[in-house]
Amino acid sequence: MKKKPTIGIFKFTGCAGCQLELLHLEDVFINLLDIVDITYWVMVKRENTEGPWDISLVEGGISTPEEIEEIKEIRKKSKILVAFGDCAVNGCIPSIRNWIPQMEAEQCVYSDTSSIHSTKILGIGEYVKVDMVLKGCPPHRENIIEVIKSSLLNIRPRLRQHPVCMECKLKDNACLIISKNLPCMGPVTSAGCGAICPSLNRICEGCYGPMSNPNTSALADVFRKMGYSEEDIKRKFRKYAGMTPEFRKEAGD
Amino acid sequence: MSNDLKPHMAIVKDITIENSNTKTYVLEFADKQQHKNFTWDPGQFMMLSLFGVGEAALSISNIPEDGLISTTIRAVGNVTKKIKELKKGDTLGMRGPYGTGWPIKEAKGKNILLIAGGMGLAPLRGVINHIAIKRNNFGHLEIIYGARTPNDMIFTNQFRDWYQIEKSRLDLTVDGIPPGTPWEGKIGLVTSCFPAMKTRPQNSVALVCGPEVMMRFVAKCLETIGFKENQIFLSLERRMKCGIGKCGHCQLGPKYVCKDGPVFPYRDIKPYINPL
Amino acid sequence: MGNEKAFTIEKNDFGRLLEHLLKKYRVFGPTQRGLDATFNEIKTNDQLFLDYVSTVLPPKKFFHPPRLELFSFDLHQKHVKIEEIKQDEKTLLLGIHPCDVHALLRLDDFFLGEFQDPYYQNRRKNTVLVALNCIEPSDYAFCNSMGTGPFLEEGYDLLLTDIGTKYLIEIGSDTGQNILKGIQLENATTADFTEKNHRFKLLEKRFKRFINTSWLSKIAQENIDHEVWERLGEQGGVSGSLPCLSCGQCSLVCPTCYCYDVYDTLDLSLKKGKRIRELDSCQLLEYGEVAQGGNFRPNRKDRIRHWMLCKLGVAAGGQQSSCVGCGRCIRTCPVGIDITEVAKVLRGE
Repeated sequence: MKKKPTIGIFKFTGCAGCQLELLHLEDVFINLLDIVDITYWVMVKRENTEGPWDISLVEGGISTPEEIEEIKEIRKKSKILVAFGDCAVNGCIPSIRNWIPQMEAEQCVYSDTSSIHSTKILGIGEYVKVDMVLKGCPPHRENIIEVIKSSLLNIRPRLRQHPVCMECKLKDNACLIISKNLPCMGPVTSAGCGAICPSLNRICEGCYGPMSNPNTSALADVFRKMGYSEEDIKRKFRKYAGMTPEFRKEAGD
Repeated sequence: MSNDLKPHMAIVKDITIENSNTKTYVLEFADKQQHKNFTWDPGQFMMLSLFGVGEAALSISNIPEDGLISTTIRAVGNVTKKIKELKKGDTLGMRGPYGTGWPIKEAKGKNILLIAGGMGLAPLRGVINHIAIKRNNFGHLEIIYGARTPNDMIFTNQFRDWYQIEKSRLDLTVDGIPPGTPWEGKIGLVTSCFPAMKTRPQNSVALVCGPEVMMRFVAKCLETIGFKENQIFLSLERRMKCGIGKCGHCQLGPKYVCKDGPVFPYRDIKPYINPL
Repeated sequence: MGNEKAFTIEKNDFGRLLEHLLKKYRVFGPTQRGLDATFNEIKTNDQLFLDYVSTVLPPKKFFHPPRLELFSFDLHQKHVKIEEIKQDEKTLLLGIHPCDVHALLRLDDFFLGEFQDPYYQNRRKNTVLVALNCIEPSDYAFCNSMGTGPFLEEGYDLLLTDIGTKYLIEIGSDTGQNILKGIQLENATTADFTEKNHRFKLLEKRFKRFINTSWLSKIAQENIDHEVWERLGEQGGVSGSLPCLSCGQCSLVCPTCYCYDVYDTLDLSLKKGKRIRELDSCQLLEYGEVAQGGNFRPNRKDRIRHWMLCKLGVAAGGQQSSCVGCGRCIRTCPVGIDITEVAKVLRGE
């Protein structure tokens, strides 16, 4: 039988939630293992092999000099390197600390900071070439499967960069901004989640990061009209994707 | 009722390599009966499917007199890159033909000027083949063909035949030559071939196909030397999802490229050819 | 007036009519969801919300579904097996407003003209339309200006009009006539029609939005370089709106927007899959993409202009994709863009 393509799953600075999402593939996980061989997954497997891998899913942002070296090693051993989830894409929630002076942030957590030498938290793309990007905190299971399938077929995955509003409207939801006067990030946020939050009457928090060509300044103006302060608005844009050039404008320096 | 969106299976009968990234495929419907009733005009296009990958609109590059249908494909997108991996005997989905062809009937008795850039020669090859077999129906034939480099040209093995066509002229030009590539033609944009051009506006039609910037430029130049808006025909390219004027993607002002085109008289699309 | 073809039913007896309809059809109608209404399946009379003003998505979703499976394919053999996915269920759409019926008539022209779309046709053929004249115009609607409401004159199988304590039921087709067989209904009187006309006159005066359509298409066509497009797309906005977000909501809630995307999906065997079509929007950057990274509507300005022009009847869809004045796009726009205001600016008013 033909050897199955190999997958390695790695974690840097993040919460492991993206890996958990992989485990949540429960009902199709067995079928997935029919077509790929997961040879490295420390969170799940006792025995792991050190590559090379056809597909590497890398979770987490890069926050220390050691991690920079490690991600470069993984890159060398991977045919297709996937930034798996927002942290790996642009730093995500951990990157909020990029707005706080380094020492101050370290002192919040560690009593002895002498052994800590962290860098700014950045997506893995800052250090290595990334072949595919799986946005989301965490990415939706359908998107994960789409990336694996298209990697195997060697085609571009269908991961559309349009706003959450598209998916929200296709679900026949009323717009939360106009019907409830809530500060929803949907109009500037990339879809892929299936508009889970707005479908449950919760605003979009922006966890997929910026859509293609977002009009962030107009949405910030919408929030201002609702009465939100400049600080509130900065926080909203900073939360998941403040390091992206698109949201940076509203996230402040 | 018939379902226009449902492709029919077709078999790859032959493959010719045109250049490093482009091949010509000869295709036949798996259902032989279907092929008997199948005809097309040069300039029309087909929708080709690789199931699981997607569908793409691709122009036909020959004439019904050749027997089977040919399409010349450069591997640039998901579908075309996968088509590049096909071998003789492989299958794919096919539906069509769609769109308007070149105005061959209207061009009868006239001088024909063909101006092509890069892959733009593909939909025009049918016109050349047609003129070659119905030589007395047309006046002088002039082909101006430009590409980025000699290595990007297609149908190069047929240039010799085209030189042999009576009352015709073939002029080739490239934007640049990579070191070590032999080249005897001109260097420059297609418009640099204009000074030596034989065709005069009187009793002539110009058929143009290539990148949109190039066509815009060529159409303007042709106008300045006296061609009227209704003597110039352009074949446009858009991404199409249906090929039958329903998905909306190929809208150009008040026209659908798939259904009202892809071949348009310059007069009809002049105001819209600037992005709209 | 065809009194002989009309009936009435007391509102508190409407459940009897619904039960009659449910015997033959799956019934879909307006239901309340929060402050808004949506079309959903109706099983009992209490689910029905006939006093609705407008719905989030138009009934377009039943005929040109947001996501539709076209056919399945099986790659196990070289000769790929393709099987069309059909939907032949008999359904009845209850309580559809005049503007939405007019929108369907336009989609009929579009999908059933040159190159008939079997998916649309099947759904249309198998669906009975029981329309409902508007009770109150929505704050955003201007159907009156577009000649598509608030009362309906064509395109229905049955037509309901609220005339106080009862509904007037008019018959618009043989199908409509047949549906009413086997149910006992009051014959409509001249007084019932007088009440209908009276209500129509009152209703006409309650519209808050208007659009002057005379020469509007022509004016729009000649103003493709108008500064209003820059204001809509980039900065300034129009009449108190902010610039467009390109969120695409306007086109998704529009009852005449039909543009779609097509793609294939495979299951994890990588051998079986489906071809899907999904509603698309010209407001998205991806919509205008062509090969090798080109895009012929790269700016928001180009995209919002395209949509507005399309709704004013000057894009490739012509009248078939033009505005019916339902007001959904105005209602749902997070930045408050209003096509009636844009039309005023184009007219120089």
